[in-house]
Amino acid sequence: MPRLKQSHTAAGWLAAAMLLTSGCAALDNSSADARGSDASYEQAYADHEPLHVVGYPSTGSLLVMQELVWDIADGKTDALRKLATSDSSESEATKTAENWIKGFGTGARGKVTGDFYDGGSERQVVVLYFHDSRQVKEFTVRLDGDAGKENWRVLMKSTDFKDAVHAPTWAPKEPGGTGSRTNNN
Amino acid sequence: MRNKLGRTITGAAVLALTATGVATGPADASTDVGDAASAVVPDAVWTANGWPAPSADPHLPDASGNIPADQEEAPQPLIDEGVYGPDTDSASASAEPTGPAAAASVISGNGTANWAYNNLDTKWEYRTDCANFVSKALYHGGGMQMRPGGRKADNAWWQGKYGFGKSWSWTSADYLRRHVTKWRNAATVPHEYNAKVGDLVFFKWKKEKVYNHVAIVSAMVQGHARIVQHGLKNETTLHEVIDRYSHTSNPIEKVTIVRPKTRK
Repeated sequence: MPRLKQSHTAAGWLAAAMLLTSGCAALDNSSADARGSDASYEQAYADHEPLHVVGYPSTGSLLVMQELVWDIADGKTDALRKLATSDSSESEATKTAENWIKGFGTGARGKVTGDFYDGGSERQVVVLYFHDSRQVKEFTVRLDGDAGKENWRVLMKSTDFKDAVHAPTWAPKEPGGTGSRTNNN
Repeated sequence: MRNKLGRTITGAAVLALTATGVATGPADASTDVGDAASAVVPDAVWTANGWPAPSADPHLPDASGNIPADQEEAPQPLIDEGVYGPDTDSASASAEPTGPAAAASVISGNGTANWAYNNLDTKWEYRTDCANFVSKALYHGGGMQMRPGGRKADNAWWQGKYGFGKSWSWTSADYLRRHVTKWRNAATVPHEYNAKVGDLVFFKWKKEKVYNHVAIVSAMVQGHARIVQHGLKNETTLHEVIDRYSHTSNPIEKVTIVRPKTRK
């Protein structure tokens, strides 16, 4: 009987040790996962000129525009085309991505200001000001996808280079010039 | 004339009707809303393949729209080019129902609008909740009844009672437009000033494939539609929405106002 009790005690310590070990491992894993996910955003943020923002972005519209500027700056055609809404074919999105990288790559590596118009609940018009290259470009971002699985995406249908880099005639010369309200134009 | 909420209603009496009492127009007719939408261009999306056959989807819900959880479908692309056909609007050729029995079978526009107006703050269930909100108004306020069928089928319109999801026609603006046009005898309203309280307003942006937003006419003021929606502003006007994008590179190119009729 004493031997049995001793055996139980040892088994108990072993189980506790295993639980602690696996518990630590689980904590380490979850912690690493969380860091990994956040770190990719933070690293991308740190690796680029911060996007200056005026207007009324939502978290979703801001994030997709940051990704767009960073991908243009880095010349990442594949990553950029993956931001496209379902309105364009894969070839259209790829060509648009190539055009934007070619047209705005230099500017995107410098200071960029995004003017987020009206509000970003489901869709938003965003005008980017590339300060170094003195370029201005309008973008449409919107939630796209099946109900319950929507994500913020960018309208990418500028297969013609001239159209892809065309500056909007309606946008003010300086970001925020119309109070970020389209109706003020 | 004022409705229950004291909102002015005009236009109901001036709906342009043909001799058969039905608003008519081309199959893919959009509604004339004046200068703001004058840049309407032909829609190149529709194909001549015709409407798809009634769904052979094995995941058919029961009459209440419920489907077993284990039959939930894998996510599919919402845009399914090639299965759409031209809007051969059967509603435009149907006769207006008359009499008490017929009236009971007709969707209540006032009921739809009143429910929507009184429930604007109802919880958004989806990040794009416009069609879901309109569907709930049609169901709870307008008396439109659910129809069983495959989740993606045009003839189906349902939401599960036990958390089993909803048909795409319930949650997607373009699928809802196709459903009411084809299966609820919806008539296309030719002009904004012909709109009535409870009509559905569908919006298509120029560079987007399909209609991506829907709202409900809540009042008519001097021939102009006020609308309620789950969108950027819950209460606004048709023209304010159009104006917001009119000067951008992706303006609203089509506004289609439809009036669904049959409840079943």
